[in-house]
Amino acid sequence: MALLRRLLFRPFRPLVRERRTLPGILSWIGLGTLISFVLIGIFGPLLISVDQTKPLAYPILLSPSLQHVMGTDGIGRDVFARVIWGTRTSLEIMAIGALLALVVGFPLGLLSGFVGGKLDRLFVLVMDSVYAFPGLLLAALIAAVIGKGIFNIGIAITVIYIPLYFRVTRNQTLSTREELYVEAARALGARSRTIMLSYIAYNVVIVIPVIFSLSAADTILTAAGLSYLGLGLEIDVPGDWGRDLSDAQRFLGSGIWWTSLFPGLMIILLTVGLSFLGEGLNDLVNPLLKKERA
Amino acid sequence: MTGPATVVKAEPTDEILRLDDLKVHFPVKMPFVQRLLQRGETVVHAVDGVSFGIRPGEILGLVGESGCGKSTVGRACVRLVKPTAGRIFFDGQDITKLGGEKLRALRRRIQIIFQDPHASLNPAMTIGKAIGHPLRIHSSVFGPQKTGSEEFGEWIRQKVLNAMKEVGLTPEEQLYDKYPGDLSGGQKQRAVMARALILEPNLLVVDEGVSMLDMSVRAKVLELMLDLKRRHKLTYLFITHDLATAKFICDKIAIMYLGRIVEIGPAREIYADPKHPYTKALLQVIPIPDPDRRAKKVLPRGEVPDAVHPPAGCRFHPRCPAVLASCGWEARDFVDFLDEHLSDPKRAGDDETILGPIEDWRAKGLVASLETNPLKVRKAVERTNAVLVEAPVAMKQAVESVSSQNRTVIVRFRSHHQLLQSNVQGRVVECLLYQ
Ligand SMILES: Nc1ncnc2c1ncn2[C@@H]1O[C@H](COP(=O)(O)OP(=O)(O)OP(=O)(O)O)[C@@H](O)[C@H]1O
Ligand code: SF4
Ligand SMILES: [Mg+2]
Repeated sequence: MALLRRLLFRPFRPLVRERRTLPGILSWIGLGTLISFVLIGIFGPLLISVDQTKPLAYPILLSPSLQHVMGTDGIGRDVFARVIWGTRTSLEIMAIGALLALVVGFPLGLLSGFVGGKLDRLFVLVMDSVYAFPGLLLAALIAAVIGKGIFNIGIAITVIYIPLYFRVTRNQTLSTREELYVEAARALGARSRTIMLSYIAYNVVIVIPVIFSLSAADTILTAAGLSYLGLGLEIDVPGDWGRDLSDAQRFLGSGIWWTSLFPGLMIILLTVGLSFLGEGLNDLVNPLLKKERA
Repeated sequence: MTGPATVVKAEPTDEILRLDDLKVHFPVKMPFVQRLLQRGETVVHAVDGVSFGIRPGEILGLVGESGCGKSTVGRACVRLVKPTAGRIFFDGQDITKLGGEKLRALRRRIQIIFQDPHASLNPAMTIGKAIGHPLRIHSSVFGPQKTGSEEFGEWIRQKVLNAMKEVGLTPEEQLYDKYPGDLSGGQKQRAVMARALILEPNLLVVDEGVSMLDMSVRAKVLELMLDLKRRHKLTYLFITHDLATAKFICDKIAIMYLGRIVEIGPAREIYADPKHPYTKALLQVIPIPDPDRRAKKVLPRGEVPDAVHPPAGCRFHPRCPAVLASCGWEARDFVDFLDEHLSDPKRAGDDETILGPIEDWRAKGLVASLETNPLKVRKAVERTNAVLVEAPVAMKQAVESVSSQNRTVIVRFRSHHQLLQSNVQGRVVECLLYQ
């Protein structure tokens, strides 16, 4: 457990150490955005009744007012309530998608890179063929097969990102494996398992938050895209930014902007925040990798 | 053609480490197509028949130029590379093929310290944790304590703090939780030493252990090594390319050249009176002829390095200032010489038109040959003889004949004497001058 705890904290050391640099600030802004969304996603639905997200709860297409700060949509749902509930939906998909990809991709990449040989070649082949597929198409295909629902969409998206985790982890493992401190550990009598976990995994895990943030941003967009195409969630999900945006589209021509603006804004804010975090961490981690090795 | 032979045989002694005709060959990495075309195996003869012994408490210095195979010997001793042939004994036990748990147990008794202390430390591990890690790795031998238990953790912590104090890594409480990146080079090397010593090994292989340190720090770390040796009854295999360092610390010296030991004996005597021409050259009694020429031949890894085809006979013969006719002259020495001759326009004259281009020459073992046209062949033989006049005397004497056959010029060398090791004034030298 101590090992797991240290594995989890290791990637965030640079965030603390380099907080005053530009990438550090960028990462903190991104992290702040992410945390705000998480708080909204957790507490928002507790404060706002799910009834407001149902059709015909209110008159249709009311413009924003004190009663409905973001107005109501084409079938009489409160846009604000939809947006808040949609945050929870998006975060759930993101958590399932990115976490599952991490949980599968990271250990496989580590093992593949460390063990090498036939196993490695097999894994690489499988992952490359998955990777070669266009992401949205693959997710749509899987969603069509296993059906709708938050969990299923999460899984469909996972499949796209597993190869990403796998590749980055494997490459990092391959270069770490050649480090002198790994040879030194072997000379100390460390078993392969110890070497893999205590010496290699630690130094590989540092790249994970970068992929996590970047792929999470992508996950949000892919999920929205699926919903937009009508392949996403069931119709009765209390909040679905992608579908709401898609539904709102036909009202745009008649000057009804609020039904599109708010879900769209949420998507943009969250993805930009995650990208800030990902790019910032990337800038922090790469020089760190160099410095630690220099 | 006979290769150098080894006469010094392993016999049961009080030695703690004994290498018996150790060979380590690495396969050369080359593109697939080339590998198909090449017949036979192509290997780097990194270590090619090395024998020596170290008695408990001794410091044996392994000295030689870059790429001569010092590190490979050291790595083989701790079983980080697999010996191709020969045997390694530790404390009387044959460890050449040890594996699994037995190898792990051995690693408590032989430790290695690498040149680069920074690269030797896991950047993600605090200093204290790194130094204590060997104890966790071998936790099963330190009694029934459970690896995770508080008691065991505290015991390790105390041992680590003591070790840190002993190697002068102070203030130890503060440095305990620092990361390698926060320490200076000297401090890192002390940490590496503490880590190596915490298992209380008997033999320490130090591979260029101080080469990367500043002069001022270097002396201190060397003093520390001597001090630790006395206190822990350590034995060192001390690898270095720096003769001054070796002189300061070593009891015995082994001089290595291209995978072989050319001279080995008590340090004081070798420094006072080197016998092998290479040792003399190293100690700058005699300057190495034209070292630049050689330097250019040190190819980067990946290309075929020199040790793939080591010179016949005595490996030092192409550079040896005292070389004899019987030292191992062979066809490619002649081609090399001719190449040099032809590339100097002043000396070459019109030789290029008759004997060139150099790529047309074939060198195979003792026979160098050039296929030319029947009209030119006599002239070519004449010119070859003329060029040979300018060759080093020993090479000239080693040429058996220059002849022609149809349209081919043939330069044939005599086969060389077998190279043996001889005892010369308390040391072992591998050189025909002493045979
Ligand atoms: N793992 C390896 N694979 C292939 N060739 C190797 C390997 N390790 C060493 N060699 C080759 O073996 C030869 C001896 O290398 P080694 O590192 O033992 O030399 P060295 O005397 O320690 O040199 P230096 O002073 O530069 O450290 C070199 O030609 C080197 O390129
Ligand atoms: S055998 Fe002795 S004399 Fe001959 S080349 Fe070698 S070192 Fe020189
Ligand atoms: Mg070396």
